[in-house]
Parts: sequence; structure tokens; C-alpha cells
Amino acid sequence: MTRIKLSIAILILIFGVGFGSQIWINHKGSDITEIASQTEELFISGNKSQAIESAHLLGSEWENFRRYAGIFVRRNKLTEIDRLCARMESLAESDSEEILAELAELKKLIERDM
Amino acid sequence: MITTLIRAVILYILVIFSVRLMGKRQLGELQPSELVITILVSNIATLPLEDTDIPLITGITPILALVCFEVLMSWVILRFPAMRKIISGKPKIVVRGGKPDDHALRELRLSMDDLKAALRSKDVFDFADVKYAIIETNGSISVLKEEENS
Repeated sequence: MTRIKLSIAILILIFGVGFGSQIWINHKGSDITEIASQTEELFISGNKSQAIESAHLLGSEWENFRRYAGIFVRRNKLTEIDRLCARMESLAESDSEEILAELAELKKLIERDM
Repeated sequence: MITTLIRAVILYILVIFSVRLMGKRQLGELQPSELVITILVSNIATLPLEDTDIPLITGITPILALVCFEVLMSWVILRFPAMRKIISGKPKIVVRGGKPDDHALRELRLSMDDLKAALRSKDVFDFADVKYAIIETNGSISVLKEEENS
């Protein structure tokens, strides 16, 4: 009977962690997507300083998320998003139009892989 | 390299724990569901070792889930004997009163040579010595000899 109870406890734990992690990943993914959209709007409207701040926020939010996301998400998917987030601030500072394509790519990757 | 080593140790401990959780039955002769779980667990355990991009939890979760389902299923089979027939099947008599049952052998997809080999492993070399021979659900053969019966 101990094995049965232990098995049930493990299954409850697995389901709990599974659902919990998925909810957390979806929530964080939405937050990052929202910041990316905000950065996009600020850049398009010509508000450079705020676009840079938003890009900086995007990078730090991603860093915070990435620290724990590696437990649940494949590393090669995270590496791709790492590359994009690392460039955002410098693209915003240099006023490069490329930032729009990178933001679109970032949002696509987050929606697809998270 | 060190990551691979740590992963290997964790997965090793996990697989040992899984085998222990499934119990001593697992180490003896396997029922069909137990065989399936054993093969699945061993295959799943290699995935995070081969590819370090895969998070370790992606290996741990299915292994634990499968093992726990197997333990619960074995309890269900114990509690509801009808489930045993569905999941494990029923033993089949293949020799009755010294005569092999061709129909039963065909159903089991066993040839006469397979049957003879199985009987020889039980030290039986003549069908006439066999009162009953039964193929169990785990594929082993049980033999009741004529001399034992009398």
C-alpha cells in the first residue's frame, strides 16, 4: 500500500509541477511579448529614449525568466531568443529599423516555443 | 562533460528508484505491461543523456509518470480481476492429456518446435508425460506431469 500512496503522491506532484510550470511559462511569455509590442510602438512613434528603456526592460525581463526557464524549455530554443534580446537595446540606441523585424521574430519565437 | 556526468548520475538514481518502486515482480518474469514499461523507461532515460539541450525534467517526468501508472495499474488488476484478463490476457492450455492443442498453439502463434523446446526446458521429452501444459500470461510454460498427478 505504501507503493500505491507514493505513486499517487508522485503523480499529483508531477501534474502540479507540469500545470504550474506551463501556466508560469505562458504568463511570462505574455509579459515579454507585451513589452516587445510596447517597444515596437514606441520605436514607430519616434519616442527613442522610451524605446531604449523598453528594450532594456525587455532584456532584463528575459534574463530573469531565462534563469528558470532552462529547467523546462529546450536550450536551443532559449539560445535563439537570447540572441534576439541581447541585440534589442543596441538596435534601439542606433535607431535601426532592423529592431522591428527582430521584435516580430522574438514574438513569433515566444508564441511558438513557449 | 561534467553536466553529462551529473545527468547520468541523476538518471541512474531515478531508474533504480523506478525499478524499486515497481517492486520485486519487475525483476522476475514480466507481464506484457511491465515489459512495455521497462523498454519505455530505458529508452526515455537515454534521451537527456544523448542530447544535453533537452531539460532533465523532460526525462524525469515521463519516467516517473509511467512507473507510477504501472504501480497503480498493478493495484487495479489485483483489485479487479476482470481487468487482468484485458491487460495481461489469460493462461492458455496447450497440451491436454498428452495431446497438443493445435488451435491453442495457432492462437498463440507458437510452432510445435517452440512447444517442444519449452517442454524440454522443463525436463519433459515426451508429450505422453504431460497431463497439462499451460502457457502463462508472461509467456512462461507450466507443466503438470502425468506421474505428479498420479
